[in-house]
Amino acid sequence: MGTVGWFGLLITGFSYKMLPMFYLAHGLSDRVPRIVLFLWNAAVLAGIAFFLAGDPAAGITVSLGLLALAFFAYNVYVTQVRQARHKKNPGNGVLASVYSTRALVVVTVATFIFMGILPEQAADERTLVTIAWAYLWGWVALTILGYLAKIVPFLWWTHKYGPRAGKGRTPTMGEMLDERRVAYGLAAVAAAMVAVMVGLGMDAAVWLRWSLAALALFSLYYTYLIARVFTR
Amino acid sequence: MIHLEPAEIRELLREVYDPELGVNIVDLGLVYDVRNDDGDVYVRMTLTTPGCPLHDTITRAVERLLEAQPEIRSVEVDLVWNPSWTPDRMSEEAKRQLGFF
Repeated sequence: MGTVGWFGLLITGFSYKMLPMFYLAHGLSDRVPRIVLFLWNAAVLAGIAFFLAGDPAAGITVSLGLLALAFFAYNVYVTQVRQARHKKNPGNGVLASVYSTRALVVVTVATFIFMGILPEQAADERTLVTIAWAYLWGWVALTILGYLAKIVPFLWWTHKYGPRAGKGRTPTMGEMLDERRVAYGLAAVAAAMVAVMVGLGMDAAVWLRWSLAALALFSLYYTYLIARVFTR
Repeated sequence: MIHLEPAEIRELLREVYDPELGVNIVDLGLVYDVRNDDGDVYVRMTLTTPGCPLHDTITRAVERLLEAQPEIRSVEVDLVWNPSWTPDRMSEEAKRQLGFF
């Protein structure tokens, strides 16, 4: 309920505002978001129902199936936003969230193929942990980190420069944060996350230790980048 | 008091920027109407999206800029959502700055 329901609906929910805003996309229908909302809730409720009924394995299959459809529908929405855009570059943070959403579908398809070939993996703890990492770090965390590159400069700019707007030159929000460093930071976090997933999948302890260390280090670097906004 | 024509006031409004897009509100096509009634200025404008988080910032920036002009006695900014803004209201310069044609 929390991991899939709250995180998923939170991110897709505020993306319906954030993505069109930063792509300057207009005239979008809310039909696909409604489909995403229905499928996502259905996935969560199906998982809960099967779990309470004492058949968690079936619940995982049905729930993941519905969730996969929700991921596809959400990607359709992202494509619609990009087709309706009037701003070519929404910022590297927003781009990171778009790429991670695309990757989510790729991982979902790969997971279904994998489980189709090896159905017993649906109950394998290591497989489930790897999938959970792909979702939580690969999509949830990367999307939040990417959006922070817009949200924090906006909040700081509004606080510091908002009262001065119209009285002379004020910096733009783009000047609050170096977009190139945002791209490098997020790419490094994503690469480290992929390395962690490989380590989890191979059950390779040494590889996992080093990749987790890299993930922590790059995450700290990105946090530092965001924190520097408050010095602008 | 020197009278500022609406076209001159509109030119002044090029000093007000959408801080996220980095484009001024005139080139964005957000300014619908400007009137000057003997120093009492009325500006009818919109924003690129309803619920824009920069709502107050941009409208206050317009007020501050115009209130600082000695030729202007009072400023009224009327923020409207109808007709809603569409990207075709942008100038060619705005489209160029946003990297899109």
